[in-house]
Amino acid sequence: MPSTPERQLPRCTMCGMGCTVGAERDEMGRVRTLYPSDLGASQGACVLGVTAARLVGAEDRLFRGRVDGQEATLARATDALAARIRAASPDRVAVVVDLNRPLEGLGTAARLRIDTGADAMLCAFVPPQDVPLVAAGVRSCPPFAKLSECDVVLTIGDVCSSHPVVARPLRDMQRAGRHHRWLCLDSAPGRTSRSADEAVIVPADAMAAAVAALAVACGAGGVADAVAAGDASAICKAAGLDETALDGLARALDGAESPGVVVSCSTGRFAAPEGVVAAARELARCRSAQFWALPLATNGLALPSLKDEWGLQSLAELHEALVNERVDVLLMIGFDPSSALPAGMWRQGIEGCQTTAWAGSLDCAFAAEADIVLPLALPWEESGSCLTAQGEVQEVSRWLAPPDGVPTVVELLLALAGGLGAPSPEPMPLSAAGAQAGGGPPVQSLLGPEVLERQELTEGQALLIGAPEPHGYTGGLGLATARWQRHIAHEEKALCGAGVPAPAAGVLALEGNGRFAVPARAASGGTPWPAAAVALPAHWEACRELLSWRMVEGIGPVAEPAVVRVSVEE
Amino acid sequence: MAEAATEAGTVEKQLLLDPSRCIGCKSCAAACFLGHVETPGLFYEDVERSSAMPMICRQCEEAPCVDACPNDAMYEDESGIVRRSVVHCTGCRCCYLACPFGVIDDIVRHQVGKCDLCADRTPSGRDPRCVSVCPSGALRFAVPDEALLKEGYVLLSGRTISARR
Repeated sequence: MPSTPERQLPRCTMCGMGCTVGAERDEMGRVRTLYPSDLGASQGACVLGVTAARLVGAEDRLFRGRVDGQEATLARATDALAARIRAASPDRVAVVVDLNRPLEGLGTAARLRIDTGADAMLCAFVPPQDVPLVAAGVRSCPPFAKLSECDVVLTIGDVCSSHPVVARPLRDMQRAGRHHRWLCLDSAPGRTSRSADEAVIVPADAMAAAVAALAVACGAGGVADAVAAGDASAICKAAGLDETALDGLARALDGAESPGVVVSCSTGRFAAPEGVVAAARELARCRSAQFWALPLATNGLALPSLKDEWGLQSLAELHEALVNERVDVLLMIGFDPSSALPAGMWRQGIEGCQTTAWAGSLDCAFAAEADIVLPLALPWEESGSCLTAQGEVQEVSRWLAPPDGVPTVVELLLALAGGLGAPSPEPMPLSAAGAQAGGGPPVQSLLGPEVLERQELTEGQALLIGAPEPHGYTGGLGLATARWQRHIAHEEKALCGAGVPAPAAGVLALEGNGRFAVPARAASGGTPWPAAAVALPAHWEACRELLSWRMVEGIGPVAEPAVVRVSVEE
Repeated sequence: MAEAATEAGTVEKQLLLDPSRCIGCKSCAAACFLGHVETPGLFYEDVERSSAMPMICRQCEEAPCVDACPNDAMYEDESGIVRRSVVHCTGCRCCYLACPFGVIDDIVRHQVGKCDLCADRTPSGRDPRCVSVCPSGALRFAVPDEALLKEGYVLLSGRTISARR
């Protein structure tokens, strides 16, 4: 498992596990990953951290600024931004900072707002996948190593895809005793269900009902009240679930001496994720089980504390302000809205702004729309403090220095402060960053009778089928990382028919960070590649806007891949 | 059996796999791909129960791929690791056909891909990349003692590789 937090080491900031991963340049200047064992830490890393190093030299890396479509130096772009902020009324300026990087950047923004006396909106961007955890009151997880001390663990969702490093303690747990069991409840067959001793697959839109039924079967009266159902049988009947299978899980949990419950909320894995997390939390309480709700981004669980301490507004408030044209200058720092949000949402949001500014590391569709673009260091090119999912403040060393002329968030804000005539801000202290476990809103406010009816799945994820299994975790990452992850894992070669009607092979691209490409080969001339198809759950209209089709040089004419609508059940 | 003489002596380690620990996350494939200038030396086969299993060169003592190669691109280095020369490989695929284990990947950008046990790392005592990154502990680079074999690890590379302690 990841090493102890008190050592300052280069760490992966992809999720909240805090694994020790870094990078170095070899004698030819190429960036190579440094693994945990290279850094004197315990083993614990996954393909996410391995991918990150590759992004340092990505061909769509942003090194120069742009002002109104024209290339500009960083200084000129920063001055232009400062001028437009000065020209605007302070209460019509909004700044959003990515929370998924060292917190000093957001802390500096919070201080700058105070120092300038501005009434600007300041928000922290949390990936959509972590919003349900925050809403359900999750603040931290127990130490992950304690998973191996459980005798029965129930995983909900595809935890082995979203957080591969939990596989080690889970496997250790399985091996520790004859009666040790790994139970899985998921919405589609995957890595986790194959690894578990017993797996129950339920429809994605009935996952909340399934977890609620399980919780009620384990004695969670609060859940029964929330969904207005008498017992687990009634919930199963109303949701069309197989009661026998869930009953088996309940009996296994009933006999456990030290159970554990783990939840992973990859976007689109199941509907009503707040309800799933709330019901899972109640289930854990009833069984006196340890509870791990896994964030997909680092620092995400700290959002409620930071909102209180640093006076942040919510993204919902920002969206409302944008839609009602109460924002003249919008500055997005460190994340790409076009890969995290449906196109219809972010495009609508910036329509009413006089100036949209974006500071980021990789070129993207949002950058193409922005009036001012500023290059920015990658999260792992910054040193600072991060909060792990276990609620520990971790001092993170940067893997490599950012390229010349590419600032960190703090450096960017210091330059902006200079342009605004404000004093150089010191970051707000992290006094409240230590998360407290437990608490949260009552389960009745997160679950309701509607979970027994069909729910819309959260948008933002495409399933690439024709692979050995649905790649549920693709939507759980920024598209840039997903692109490289799949590319370097050679998964583009793994496409096959998978029983879905598929026409010719081709190249599919997801917009946002632009070039999430699944290369394929034409059927004529050379080795024919298996056909490719993209499946979108029927509800995800907005995701279709992210898809585009393009030719790969040298492949020749190929037909557009099938975009078929399937249920995530299969 | 190749040995590397050093001041600290030699340690003979082998690549071991516990298939029941593998979750098919392909972190090993990603690490291998990145660490070898995007030429993979490790690929996957689907197996029952696990979604995939890494297939790695067996490092044969009398390697058929070395015998089969017409261009001397396949060779055994001073540490005993069977390696492929990027410069001499023409992608003729004789090694791919000769390999009795089927662990040579056929043609990546006109060359074959083969595991070299991360020859830039193991002689200095570091683990191969696939082992370093495996999140479930399925892959190990260790002396194959009784304890490990009882745990369920099986030999993935079929010969002894020497590394400095």
